Amino acid sequence: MSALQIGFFSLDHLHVFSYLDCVAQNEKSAIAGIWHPDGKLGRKTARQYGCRWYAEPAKLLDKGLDAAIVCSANRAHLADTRVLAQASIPTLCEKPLGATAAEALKIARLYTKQGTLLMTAFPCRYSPPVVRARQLLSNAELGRILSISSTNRGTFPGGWFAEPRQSGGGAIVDHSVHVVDLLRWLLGTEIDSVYAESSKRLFQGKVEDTGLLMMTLSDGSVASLDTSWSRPGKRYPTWGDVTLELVGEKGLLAVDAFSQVVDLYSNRRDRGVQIPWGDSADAWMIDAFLDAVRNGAESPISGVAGLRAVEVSEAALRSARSHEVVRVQRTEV
Amino acid sequence: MTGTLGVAVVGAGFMGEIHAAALAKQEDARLRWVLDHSPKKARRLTRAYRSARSTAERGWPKTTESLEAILGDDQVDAVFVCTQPKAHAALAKECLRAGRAVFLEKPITWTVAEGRALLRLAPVKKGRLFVGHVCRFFPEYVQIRERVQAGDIGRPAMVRASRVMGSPGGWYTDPQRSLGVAGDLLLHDFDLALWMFGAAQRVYALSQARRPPIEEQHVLASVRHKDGTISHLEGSWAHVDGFRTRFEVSGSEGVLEFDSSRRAPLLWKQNASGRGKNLVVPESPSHDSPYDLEVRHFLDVVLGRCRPRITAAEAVQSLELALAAAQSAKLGKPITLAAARSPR
Repeated sequence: MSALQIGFFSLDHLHVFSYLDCVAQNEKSAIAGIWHPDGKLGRKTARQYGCRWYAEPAKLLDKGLDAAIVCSANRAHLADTRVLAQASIPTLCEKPLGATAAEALKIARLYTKQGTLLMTAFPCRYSPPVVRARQLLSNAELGRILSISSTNRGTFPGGWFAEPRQSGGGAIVDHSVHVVDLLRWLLGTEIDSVYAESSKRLFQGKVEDTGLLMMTLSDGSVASLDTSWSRPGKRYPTWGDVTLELVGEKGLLAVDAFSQVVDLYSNRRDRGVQIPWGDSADAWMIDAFLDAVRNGAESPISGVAGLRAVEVSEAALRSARSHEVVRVQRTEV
Repeated sequence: MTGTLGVAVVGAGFMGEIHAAALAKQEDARLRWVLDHSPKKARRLTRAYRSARSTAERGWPKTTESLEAILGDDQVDAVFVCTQPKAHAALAKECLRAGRAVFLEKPITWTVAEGRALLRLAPVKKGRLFVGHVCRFFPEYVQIRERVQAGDIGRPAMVRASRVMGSPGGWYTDPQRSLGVAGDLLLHDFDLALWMFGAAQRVYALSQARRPPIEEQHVLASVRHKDGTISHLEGSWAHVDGFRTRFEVSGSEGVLEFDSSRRAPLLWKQNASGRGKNLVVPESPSHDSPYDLEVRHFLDVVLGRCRPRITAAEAVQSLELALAAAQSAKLGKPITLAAARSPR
């Protein structure tokens, strides 16, 4: 069977380089080409991966794609996906699906209308510790869930992430969608209300750099989520974390998704570092995307899942401004 | 005041025993009275004190069921009140009125109003009323506070505190007698957060319990400090993996992390053969326990040698924050705290 031709739409989001590796290394796929507005980075990256750079999205489309991966800045997702949906190209879109819930809704509807596959890039669903946790929870090993304390912290990404016009917001917009999606997926429930605190105390920029979400869930449980860009980039041994501690009637389940590492301390480095050895969640996510494209199957992580997460992060932003509990509005796609 | 301080312990439960053990190590203090409604408990505490006391002395502690007997003894300088919280206000009031220094176990009182009434009886500066927020004597927290104040992590922005354990049972889980996870257990971390990062502006909390309202209770709280620092606090009586505390501060230049389960200064594991259950006991031994340091500090305050590490007014603020958290969880909305002086 011939390899699926995958077009890359924008290199804005730093996750794209991992996705390029995954597509290049997976025998089911090949990189068809890269569109990126900045020719310098576009050409350099294309050379590196042995493909062509295109100055216009339409030119890359003309090449004939089996599927596309969108990694533009949050605010550009709508314009980029519109082109792809209209051409009925199955798409993996970087998270958050949109910079706002309204944009995410439009994107999800575009693909539904066309009957084209849209997958939201939530790689944490493919982290083996998370997958194992879902198994345990599906078997009701914890009984009724009372409370979840979770974190998705990272280093300050800078660049367009800190420009509200391109990102739609800071740490809450960037990070909260990952674990919100995990809560929905692990527990099979929705987030009903959000209270949030945020600040700009770390970097004093234009967007929030700390975020704390306090949520009530439809299954009666409660959850907190720390989404801050609070890992000191120069010295911390790793980029950040994804952790969940679930307290249930029958026990405790603690997930530390990125803890499959060895610690390295070397005179040749200015700090101790963690060397990961666990499965690449990105690789398994890309593999699931390719299978769905090839088999014409249902999206492994739908546009609705992407939308639901943005609806929660948007409610969190509103709460952080109003200091009130915000009910999450869920719109049907 | 010079020479030996005469001391009484009121309430011979868990904390009374701990403070008596600490008192036994202080050469300039002598335990004279132990009051408990259970004479058996009072005698047990007295015996423990006697066997811990290294030097023989005349006049071992007497047991009583009457506060009058204690306050009628003019050699009693200070009273440790270690009863259940509802009894704190009345006992402390009587002791203060009788001119005695009071060591009041936390929570200072059952209600904020009772706490404020005590403040009026015991002017802050005189150090006559001390509240046992022992976490301010745990070296790990002292160290974290010092590093924050030294600027090692720049501007503090995000705090994560966690204190989790299994159900303590007994009166602790009876809502008529206990303030629950927020007011009893997590009160420690509310106090630490205020001590380190200053007054709170608002609080929002979520609470769940296996048997509501407070048995096997789990509480998540968000505190916004006036300076913009955000604290996330987790407290649990629903955990299964024993006692664990964590405290983490993220700032503009770095992070401070403490996790009692990450490093084990001493870990004692017994295998099940012939003993029934497997047992794992983690310890963090030190020459003077935080409880020893706290009692020593209190005696020094009474002797006029230093200012108290925690004022009674600060203890009221910590209670106010904890009870506001409990109230927030009940109402399902955030609570803005009355303008309070920064305790820093």
